[in-house]
Amino acid sequence: MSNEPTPDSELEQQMVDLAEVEDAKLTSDQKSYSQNQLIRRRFFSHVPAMISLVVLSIVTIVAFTSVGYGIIPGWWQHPFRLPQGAQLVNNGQPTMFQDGQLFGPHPFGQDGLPRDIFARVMRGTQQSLIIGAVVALVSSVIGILVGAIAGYFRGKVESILMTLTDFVIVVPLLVIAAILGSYVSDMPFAPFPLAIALGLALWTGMARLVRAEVLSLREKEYVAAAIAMGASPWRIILKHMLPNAVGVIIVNASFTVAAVILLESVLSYLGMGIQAPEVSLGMLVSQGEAAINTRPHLFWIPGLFILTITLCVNFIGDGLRDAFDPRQQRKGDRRPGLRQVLGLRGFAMSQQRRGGAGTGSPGNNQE
Amino acid sequence: MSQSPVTEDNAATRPRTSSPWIPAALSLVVPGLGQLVVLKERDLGLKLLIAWLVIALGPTLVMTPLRLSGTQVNRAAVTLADTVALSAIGIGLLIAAYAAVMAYRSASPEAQEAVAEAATAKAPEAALSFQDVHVSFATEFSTVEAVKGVSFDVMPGEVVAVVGESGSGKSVTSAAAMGLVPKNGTVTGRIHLNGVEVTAMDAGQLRRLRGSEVSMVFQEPMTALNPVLRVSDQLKEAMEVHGVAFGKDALAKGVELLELVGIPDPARRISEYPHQFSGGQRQRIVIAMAIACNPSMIIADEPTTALDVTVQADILDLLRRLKEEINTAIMLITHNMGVVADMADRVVVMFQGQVVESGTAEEILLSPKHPYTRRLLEAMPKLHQKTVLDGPAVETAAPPEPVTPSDASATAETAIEARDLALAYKHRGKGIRVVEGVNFSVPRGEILGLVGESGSGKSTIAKAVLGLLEVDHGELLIRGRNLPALSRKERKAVRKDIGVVFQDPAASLDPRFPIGDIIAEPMVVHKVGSPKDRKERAAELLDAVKLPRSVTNRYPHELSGGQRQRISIARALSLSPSILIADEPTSALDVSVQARVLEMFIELQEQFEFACLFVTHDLAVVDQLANQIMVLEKGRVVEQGEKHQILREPRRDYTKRLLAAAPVPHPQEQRERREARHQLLAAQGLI
Repeated sequence: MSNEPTPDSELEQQMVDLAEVEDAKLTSDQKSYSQNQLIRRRFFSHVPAMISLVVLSIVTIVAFTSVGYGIIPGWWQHPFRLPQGAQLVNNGQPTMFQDGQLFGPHPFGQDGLPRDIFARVMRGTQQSLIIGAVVALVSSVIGILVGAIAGYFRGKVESILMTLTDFVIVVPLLVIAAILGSYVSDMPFAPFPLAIALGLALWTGMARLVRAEVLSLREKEYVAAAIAMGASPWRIILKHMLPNAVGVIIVNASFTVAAVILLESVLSYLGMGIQAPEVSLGMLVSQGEAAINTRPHLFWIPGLFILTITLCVNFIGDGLRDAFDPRQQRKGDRRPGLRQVLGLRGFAMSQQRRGGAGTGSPGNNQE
Repeated sequence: MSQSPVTEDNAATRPRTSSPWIPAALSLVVPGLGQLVVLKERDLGLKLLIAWLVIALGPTLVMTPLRLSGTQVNRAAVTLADTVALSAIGIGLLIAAYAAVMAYRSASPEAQEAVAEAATAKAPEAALSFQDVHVSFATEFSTVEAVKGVSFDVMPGEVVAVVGESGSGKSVTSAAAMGLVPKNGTVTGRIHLNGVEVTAMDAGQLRRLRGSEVSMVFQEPMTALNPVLRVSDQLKEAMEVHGVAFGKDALAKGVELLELVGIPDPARRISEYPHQFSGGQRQRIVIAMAIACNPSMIIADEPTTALDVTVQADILDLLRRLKEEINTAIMLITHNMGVVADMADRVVVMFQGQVVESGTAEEILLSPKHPYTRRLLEAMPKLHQKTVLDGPAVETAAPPEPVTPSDASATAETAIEARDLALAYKHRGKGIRVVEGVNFSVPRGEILGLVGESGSGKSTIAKAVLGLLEVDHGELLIRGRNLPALSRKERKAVRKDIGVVFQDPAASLDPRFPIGDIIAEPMVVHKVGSPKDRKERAAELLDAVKLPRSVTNRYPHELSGGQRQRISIARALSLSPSILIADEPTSALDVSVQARVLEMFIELQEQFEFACLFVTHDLAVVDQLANQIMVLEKGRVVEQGEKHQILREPRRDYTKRLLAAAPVPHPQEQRERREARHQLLAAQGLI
C-alpha cells in the first residue's frame, strides 16, 4: 500500500482510514461494559466506601439479629426492656474485656434499673437505620416526582411546584420535624409514622436537584429525538431522564440517610422523636447524658454508634458520587495525602527535578 | 557553549552568582536583602522587606518601651507586650526562612538552566521543536499512548499546520508544548521553545512562559473569554500579568491591539462585555489577547472550526496579516485541508499518535506520499464550481454525480411542503420571529439542502418539521396534512413517518440504552411488531449501516462519533419513514468518517427513497447530496432552486460570498480564490 517500505507492517499501520480503524476496534474481542458495570467497578475500587459498606453491613446484621425484630426472636439473651428479676452485674460497668472474658454478660454495661445497654443500643440502631432508609425512600419519591414534573413540563406547573418547594424550604427543618414528630408520636407502628412524617419534610433538596438535572437533560438531543419520534412525556421521564439522573438521585439519597439519622437523634434528644418505651440512639444519648458522671458509657456508646453509622453512610455516598461522576474523582495527584496537606509535594518535585539536572547529562529524559 | 545568542541573552538578563547560599544567608538575616542586593528581584525583595518590618519588627519595637517601663502595677500589660513581641518575632523568623528558601531557589536554577542551554546550544534555532515526544495517559483501565514519538520543528515566522483526525494526538502534542497536559498524562522526550526546554520546567517557570513566549488561540471563542469581565480588563490582565504594560498604558495598548485585529471603533468597544461581540469578533479578541505580549510562538488549536465559513475566511486573513506584521511562528492545528492550503508553509500529518508525513504545503497537498494523506484528501467533500479559476487538478477529480431523479419529481407525491412559514421562539411571553416567509416543497425521494450560517434559522425549520417547535404562522404540510392543525393523536401518527438525525454524536444517543434498544425505540413507542420482530429489524438496520450485528449489546460510549451517527441513522430509519430530517449530521465528524457516512447516506436514500431535509453549513456536502438548495440568511430565504444553478451560477451577493469563502485544498488555487474573494467583496462594497 505504502510507497515507502514499512519494516514493521502491523495491522494498524496498514489501515489508513480512521473509520476502518474504529470499525476494527469494534469487532475486535473487547469486553463490553455497560454504564452500570462501569459504575459498579469504580464503586468497588473505592476503598473508604468499601470499608464503610462492610462496617455498616456488620452493624446492620448484628443490630437486627441480636435483639430480633417484631415477633422474630434474636440470639441475645437480654431484652431491651427491663426484664423480671434483672440483676446488676459489675455495678453496671461494661463487662467487655473485663476479668479475662471477651464480652461477658453485659458487654456495654447496664443502666440504673438495670437494663442491658447492648440490647438497647442494638434496638436503637435498628430504629435509626429504619428511619434513615424509610425517610430516604419517601423523600426521594416525592422529590423525584415534584422535580421531574416541574423540570419537564416547565411553565405554570413548574412555578406552582417550585413555589411550594420554596415554602417548605423557608420554614426551619427542625421546626417542621418537631411539629410533625410530636403529632405522630403516639401513633402505632413506631417508628414508621415518624419516618414518613420526616420524609414529608425532607423532599425539597431532592426536588431541586432532580429539577436541575431534568432541565439540563431536556436539552440533550436524545430527548429531542424521543420527542420527535412521538414518545409520551412519561416514557421520556421514566426511560430517558430518570435513568440518566440516577447518579444525582442515589448520591443525594445516601446523604439524606446520614442527615436523617442525625435529625432523628436530635429530635429524640429533645424528646420529640421516638417515645418510650421504644428506644432510639438519640434518646439513649439523652438519657445517658444525665448519668455522664457516674456511668459515662451510657452516653458514649450510643453516641459512638451514631457517629459510626453516619460516617459510614457518608463515605458510601462519597464512593457513589465518585463512581457516578468520575470527573470529580480524586485519584493520584489529586487525592489529598499527607504531603499535599503539608504543601510539600511541589517542593519534593522541584528537588527531584534539580537532582535530575544536577547529574548533568544533557540527554537525560525527565518525566 | 555560549555561541548561541539565546544563551547570551539569558546570561545578560539574569545575574549569575557564585553560590545560591549567599543570597539565602543574606535573606535569612534581613528578609528580602538577598533578593534586593544579589538577585536584583526588586519586587519580591521589597515586599518581603516591608512585610518583615511591618509584621515582625514593628510590633516588637512598639512593645519594647512598654516592656521596659512596665511595672509590677500593670502586669497584664507587660504580659500582653511579651506575647505580642514574641509572636511577632516568631512570624519574623518564618518570613526570614521563607525569604531564604526563595532566594536559594531562584538563585540555584541558574546552574540547571546553563546545563539545559548547553544541551540546546547545538539545536537548530527553531521557535518550537519537538524531539521524540511521547505522551501517555493513565486511564481507569489501562494506559493509553496518545502521542507516539513525534519530532518536528517550527521555525520563526513560519506557519506549520498539524493535520489529523480525532485521536491523532495533534491537540495533545500542542498541549505538551504549553505544559498543559492533564495530570494523568506523562510526557517524555524533549520540547524546546526558543532553545529552552519546556519539559523540564516547573509550574512557575511555565506560567512565566505562557502568554509571553508562547500563547494559544482556542477553538471555542464563546468560552475562551470570561463573560463577566470587560474586554478591556481581560486584555489588560494579559499584559499586566507579564509586566508588559500597566494601567492606562495597557488600556492604550489594548485599543491598539483591537484595531490591529480589525475590531471597528476599538476605543469605545474595548469597554464592552464579550457577549456584545459576534463569534468572529470574539475570536479576533482572543487573538488580540494572544499577541498582547508579543509571543514568538502562537499555537492555534482549531481556531476557525466553530466559526462560519465567511468568518473563517476573515480570521484566516487576519492570522496571515499578523504573521507578516509581527513575525511570529504559528502552529496551526486543524482538520480542514482547505485551511491548510490557505495558511500553511509546512504541513505535518498525524495519524494515531504518529507523524505519517511532513513537508511543504505544496508537497503534501499536491503529491501526497503516504496513503493516509491521500485518503484524507480524497475524503474532503469537494465543491465543483464553474469558475475561470478551475485548474486541471479539479477537472480530473470530477466524481460521478449522485443519482438525481429529476424527472421523477414532477410526478412524485410531495412529502413536505411549507407555505409562507414563520417560526418564533418564545422569550418571556413574547414571540421573537426567527424565520419568516419560507416556502418550499420536497417531493418523495429528493433531498433539499438547507444552507446558511449560524443564526440563519435553518435548524429552526428542521425543529418545526419535527414538531419540537410550534408553527407561528403559515402552513407546514407533511404528506398533505397541515401539522399545526392536527390533534395530538394525529400528530403522533404523523411522527411515525419522520425520522431524525441530529448533529452531536455524543448527545444524540441515550447513554443508558444498549444499541439494540436505541434502534428499536421508535418501534416500541409506536407499538410496532413483537419484541422478536424488533430485534430482527434492528439487526437488519445494523447491516444497512454496515456495523456488525454484535453491536446490539454494546453501549453508546463504546462507539466512536461516526459509528454513533450511523446508529442514529439506523434509528431514524427503523420505521421506514418517508421523511428524514438531518440536522448537520456530519459536521461533528472527521473528514474521512464524514465521507463514509455521506456515502452510506446516499446509498440508503436510494434504497428507502425518503424525502429529506438536509441542514448543513457546508456547501461541499450539499453539493454531494442534494437535489435542491435553499440558502438562508437571518431567517429569510436568499436564494432557492436547483443545486447546479445555486452552486454554479449564484444570483445573489450573499450566495456568491458564501461560495467564495469556502477554502479548497490546493495552495495555488486557494491563493487565487482568496484574491477573487477580495475582489468580490470589494465589488460588493464590503471592504
